[in-house]
Amino acid sequence: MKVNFKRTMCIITVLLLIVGVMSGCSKDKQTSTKNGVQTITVWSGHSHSKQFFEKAINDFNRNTGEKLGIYIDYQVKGESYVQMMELALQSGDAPDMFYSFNLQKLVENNHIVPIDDMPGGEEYLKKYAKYVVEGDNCFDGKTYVLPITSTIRGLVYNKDMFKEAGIVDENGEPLPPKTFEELRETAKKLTNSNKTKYGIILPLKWSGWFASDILQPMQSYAGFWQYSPVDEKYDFSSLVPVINSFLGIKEDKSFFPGAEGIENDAARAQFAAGNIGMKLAYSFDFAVLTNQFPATCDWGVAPLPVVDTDNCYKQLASYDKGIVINSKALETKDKELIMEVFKFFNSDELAVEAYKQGINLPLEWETIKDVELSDELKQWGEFAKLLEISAPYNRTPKQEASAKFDVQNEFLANVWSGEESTEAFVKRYEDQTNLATKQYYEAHPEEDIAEFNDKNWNIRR
Amino acid sequence: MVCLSNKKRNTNGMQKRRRTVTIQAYAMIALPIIGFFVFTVYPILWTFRWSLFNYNGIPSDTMFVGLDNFIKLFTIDFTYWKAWGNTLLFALCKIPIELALAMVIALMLNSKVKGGGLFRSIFYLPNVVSVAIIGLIFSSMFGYFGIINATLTRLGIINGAIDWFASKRTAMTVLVVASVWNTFGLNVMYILAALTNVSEDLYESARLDGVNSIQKFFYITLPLIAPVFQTILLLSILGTLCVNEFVLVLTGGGPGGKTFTMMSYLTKQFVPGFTESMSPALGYGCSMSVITTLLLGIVAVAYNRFSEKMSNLY
Repeated sequence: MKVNFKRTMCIITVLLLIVGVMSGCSKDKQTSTKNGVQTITVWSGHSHSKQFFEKAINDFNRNTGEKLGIYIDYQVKGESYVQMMELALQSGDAPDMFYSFNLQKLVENNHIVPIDDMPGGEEYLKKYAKYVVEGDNCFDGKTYVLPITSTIRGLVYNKDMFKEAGIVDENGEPLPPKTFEELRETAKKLTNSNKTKYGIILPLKWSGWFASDILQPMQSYAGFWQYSPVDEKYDFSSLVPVINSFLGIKEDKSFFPGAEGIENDAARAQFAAGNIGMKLAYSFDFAVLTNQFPATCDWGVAPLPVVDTDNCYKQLASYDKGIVINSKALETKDKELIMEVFKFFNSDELAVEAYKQGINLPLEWETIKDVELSDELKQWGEFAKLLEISAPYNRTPKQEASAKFDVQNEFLANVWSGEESTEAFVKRYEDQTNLATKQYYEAHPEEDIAEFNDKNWNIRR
Repeated sequence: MVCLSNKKRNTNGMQKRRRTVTIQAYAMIALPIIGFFVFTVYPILWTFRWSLFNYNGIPSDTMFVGLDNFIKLFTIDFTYWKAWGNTLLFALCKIPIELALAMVIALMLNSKVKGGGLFRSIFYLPNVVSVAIIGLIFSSMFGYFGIINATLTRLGIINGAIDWFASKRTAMTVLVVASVWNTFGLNVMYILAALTNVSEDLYESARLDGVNSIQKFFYITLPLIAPVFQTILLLSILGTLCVNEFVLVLTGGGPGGKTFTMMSYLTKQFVPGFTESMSPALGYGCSMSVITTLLLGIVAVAYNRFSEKMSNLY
């Protein structure tokens, strides 16, 4: 009896284990069609816009979706989006459409389909011809993804501190600095360590600091970003005066102390607390300074400083990529309906609505110039206005990965610590980067560096 | 005849039972063995294979490069070797402090103090705190406006606040302090367990012979716990050499990569999700992992060789 009971329990346990294991292996053959409505799944990694998109998609499902027989199942996967997507693609459980990442890898592994091959795709793409770039949106002449929103840069400044320090124009309005030298002087005037007020905050622990505060502003004072399409080489000589201004700020002690231990989140929180005069920021920082760390001071947004106001170029704007179509989706879903969903996510109407709610900036100022914003979105409008003086950055040639110059760590270890001159560092950076580029193209003779060159490149403001 | 037939039946029964037991044993170890091959052997072979390739996940960039990755590692990538130097420095600073502190506390707790159980729990507590939380706590404590600077200034030990994360020396100090706080409790437990095995009779005899406390420690306690201590030290050495996320959350390898240990450097540069790059040089990272594994293996073997005497003291 005892033995039988044991045996029965063993069999039940084994069966349960097998069922449990097998359920993990099952293919989720969700009914894609229910009452004549096709469910199209879309995954995103954008948590910040979750509520906005959920509402917009609900509206779509209730109106256009019902008419066309489409139901969009939109899911936000959060921070580990890329890892989740890669796993889903490998196991064949990826959604029908998803926000793009590592496009070249997706294309070469045949995970996604070109828009050109979709019904009405070629016609639809004509509208975006000036935005799509080979290697960025297209491969071998086929377009896989469209740029959908912009991210731009600006200098955020604490208006209260500017007024208190008397850095104002004849109307009493704060006067943000226009050049990096002025940035240094302004930071000095704003600093009052007895009151724990500091001119600027430099989050040096953040691994993106050098790119954010020194490299990306480069386009507005050098006329190109890192690689000169005209001179056909990486050229960092224009960084010298900018780096020297930051070293001047260090010398003046007009930055929030303990910079090497400060991450960007902590820096944004300090700015929001009202103790910091200025910070270089991205347009998405608007949401951070209104929702995550609501600013306790009156703040504004100014264009990035330049080196010489007579030689200004358009600021760097990066276009964020939209959704791509899973090649497997075409096996089970209607192409026409998938294309309708694609058009919805790339529509101007959605872009304008996202702008109105402070979620995303469109590609061009023209799209939103007539939109009136509420008072709470004042700084968002100031960021958007910078679209007029912004342009997408030039593409840069690839570099041999193991020979790449670790610019931020090299800068902090050698220049910020005072062990190396700015000139020597910039030369080392330039030489190493050009060498790494040469090594890459020697190892990849099938690729041509000439595609990055453009003798007519000119983005002067 | 009957006897023979019974004997044969018994032998058959035993053989059958033995076969059943063998099958059961194989069935029981099957799952861990499969897990070992899938989650340990396969990733190791995968790492060895890709260490010979230029590989970043993009098919058109993938190519066989032979030993190129290893050659670059030994001839160009000095940051990796500096990270090894930092790792050894960190280990040299941390392990003696950690083990000495753990030993003192374990001896105190072993002497039947009141509330010993409570203290044991308190000392062990930091070990269960997540590394991310420890990073936040110590970043805040050692921040420019943090409690450490405030206390030292108030006590008159320093004139002005120290920027703890601005130089390698001070940032390494923060790492050592935080790391000792995090792990010494575990060593207290190990040493306490070893101490309970030392017979009270030996101490009693020593006391009758007029041996003082220091002599008791060096001539009785230490030699008797030496075999266990050998293992504790090995675990401490390997744990310290493999320190990874602790560095990433506390200093991020800064200032300027000067506090990168080799594991944190490897993670920050080549592990998807940690590195900034969308297509990190995984092949090169694999070659770095292979060399790191070999070097750690050499450390473990060398330690076992040199510490052999510890297991034969008594």
